[in-house]
Amino acid sequence: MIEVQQLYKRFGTVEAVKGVSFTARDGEVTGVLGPNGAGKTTSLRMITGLIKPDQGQVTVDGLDPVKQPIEVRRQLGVLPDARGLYRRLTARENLEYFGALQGLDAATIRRHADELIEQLGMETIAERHTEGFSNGQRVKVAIGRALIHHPQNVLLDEPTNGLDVMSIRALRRFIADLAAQGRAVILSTHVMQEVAALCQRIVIIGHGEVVADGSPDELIHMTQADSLEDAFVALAGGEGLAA
Amino acid sequence: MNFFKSLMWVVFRKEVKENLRDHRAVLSSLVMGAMVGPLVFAAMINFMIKQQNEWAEQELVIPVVGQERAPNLVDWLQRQGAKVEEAPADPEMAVQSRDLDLVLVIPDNYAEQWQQGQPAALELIVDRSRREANTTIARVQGLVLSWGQQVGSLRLRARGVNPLLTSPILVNARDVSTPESRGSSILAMWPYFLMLSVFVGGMYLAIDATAGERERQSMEPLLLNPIGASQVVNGKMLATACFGVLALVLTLLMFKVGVRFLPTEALGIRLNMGLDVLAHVLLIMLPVAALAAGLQTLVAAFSKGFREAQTYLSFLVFIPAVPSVWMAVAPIKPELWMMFVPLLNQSVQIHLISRGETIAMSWQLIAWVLTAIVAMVISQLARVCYQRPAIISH
Repeated sequence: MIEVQQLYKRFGTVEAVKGVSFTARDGEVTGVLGPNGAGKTTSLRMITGLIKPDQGQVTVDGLDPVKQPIEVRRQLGVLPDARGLYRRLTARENLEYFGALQGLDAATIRRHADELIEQLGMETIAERHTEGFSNGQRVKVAIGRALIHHPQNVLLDEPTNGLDVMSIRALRRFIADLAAQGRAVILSTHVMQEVAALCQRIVIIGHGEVVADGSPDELIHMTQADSLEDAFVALAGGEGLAA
Repeated sequence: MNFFKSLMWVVFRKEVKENLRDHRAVLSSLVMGAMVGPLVFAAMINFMIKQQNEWAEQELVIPVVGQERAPNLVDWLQRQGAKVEEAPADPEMAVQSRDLDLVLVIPDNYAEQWQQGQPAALELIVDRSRREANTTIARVQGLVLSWGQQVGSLRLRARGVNPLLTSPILVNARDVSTPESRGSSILAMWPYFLMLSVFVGGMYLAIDATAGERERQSMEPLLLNPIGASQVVNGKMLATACFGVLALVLTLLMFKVGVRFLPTEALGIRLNMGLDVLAHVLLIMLPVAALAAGLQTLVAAFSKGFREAQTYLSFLVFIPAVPSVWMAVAPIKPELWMMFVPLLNQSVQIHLISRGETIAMSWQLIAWVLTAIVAMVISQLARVCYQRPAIISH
C-alpha cells in the first residue's frame, strides 16, 4: 500500500506539486491521470525517494522513502519514464543485473527471470542483445527488470506508450494480473481506455493538485459526463476547476 | 561484509562485461592505449638512430668557393676522404634553400695572409637552425681546424720551437654515465606513455558508464534499485581503474618486447625492462589509476551527454603530459618537494628507475600515499556528484 499525504515540491519559482494526497491500496490498480506538466512525474519520483518532498509524507508499506530509501526500493517496482536498457547485454542479462542489485541470490534471480520472460512473452528475445529492440520489446524488458524482485508495490509510468495493439492488450492483462495477485499498482497514463479497463480508482492531478479522486463511475457521476474521457476533460482542463 | 557479494561488485562485473563486449571500446582503450604508445616510441627511436648513423657514415661532400686559392688545404681534405666540389654561384642561397649543408669559402686575400704568416681567414656558410646539418658542419670544422694545427706545429718546428709549448693544458672528460643513465635520455617520454595508457585505458568505460548511462536513460532505473549511489559510483570507478591498469600492464609488456628490437648495444646504452623493474613501475602507478578513474568519472558525471564527456576527457588526457614534457624539455634534478605533486612524482620516480638509480623509501611512500589520498578525495567528490538529483535528469 502506498499512502501520499499533502506533498509539496517547488523547483525554483515553480510550484510543481502543491498538496497532493492519495492512497493506492493492495489489490487495486490506481490510475494517476493528469495533463502534461501537471506534477505526475514529480509526485511519482517522490514516492521512489529520488526527489525529496519539501513538505508532506509518503509511506510505502509503512516505510518512509526519505528516511529508508533502500528498504522502500525493495518494496517497489518502478517503470519510470526513462527506460533505457543496456544494449550490449541480452534481455535476460538486463533482468539478472537488476535482480543482483536487488540482492537476490542467483537461483532466485534465475527462477524469477524465467517466470517474467514467460509472462511477458519474451521467450524469443531473451537471449538477444537489446540493441535494436523494437519499442514493445524494450518496454517488456524494462517492466521485467522492474519486477524481478516481486515487489509488493508497482509504479508504471505510461507503460503502453508507443506500443502496438497486440502488445497493449497483453500488457493490460499483465497489469490486471499484478493487482489480482494482491499488489498495489499505480498506473500513470494518458490513455482513457486503459484507465476504464484497468483502474479501480482514479486520481486526477491538475496544476500540482488533486482535482478528483474516486472510482471511474463516481467520476462520471460527479461530472455528469457521458464517458470517462469527458469526465477527465471536465476535471483536469475544464474552466470550472482549472482556475 | 564479503566484497564479492557487495552491490559494488555487481556493478563492477556488469560494467566490465558490457565494456568487453564493445569491440570499439576495447580497441580504443587497449590498442590505442597500450600499443600505439610503444610503437610510436620505437619507431621514433629507430628513426633517430638510423639518421644519426647515416649522417656519420655518409661521404663528406664539401662545396668550396675558390679551391685554387688553397691547393694544400684542398689536397689535405681529399686525403682525409672528403669529396671537394665546386660551389654554386650563390652559396648563401644554396645553404638557405637546403640544397647544401654548408659551403667553405676561401677568400681572395687568403693566399696573401697565408704568405705573411697572419691567421688566414676562412669562411663557413652554415644555417644553424638546420639541426640535420650540424653533424656535417662539425665534421668539416674539425677537419679544417686539425689541418690548421698541423700547419701551426710544422711552422714552430721549422723555427726550432717545440709545438707542445703552445698546449699548456689538456682536458680529458671522464664520462661517469652508465649504459642505463645514457639510455634514460631516450626514455624521457616514457613516463608520459605510461600515464597516457592509464588515462586512455579507462576513458571509454568512464564515459559509457556515466554520461552514456544518462544519455541512454538508464540512470534513473539503475538508481531505483536498493543501492546507494556511492556503491554505483564505486563499482564504476573500480571498473574504470581496472581498465586503466590493464592498459598499463599491456603497455609495459609492449615496451619490454619493443626494446629488443632497438639497436641499444650499438648506442652504448641499456634500457632495463626486467620484470622487477616493470613491477616496480606498476606499483608506483597504481594510485594514478585510481586518480584517473575518479577524475574521469567526476568529469563525466558533470557532462550532459556522451559527446560532451568525450570532449572533456580527451583534454584530461593531456594533464599527465605536463610533468613528462617539462622533464623532457628542461631536465631537472629530482627533489623532495616533487614527491608531493601527484603525476609529477610518478614521472620523476619512473625517470630515476629508468636511469637505474634507487629511490629513497621515504620518497616512494610520500608519493604513493599522497597520490592515493588525492584519488580518494576526488572519488568522494564523484560520489557526492552522483547524489545530486540532477544525475537522473536528461
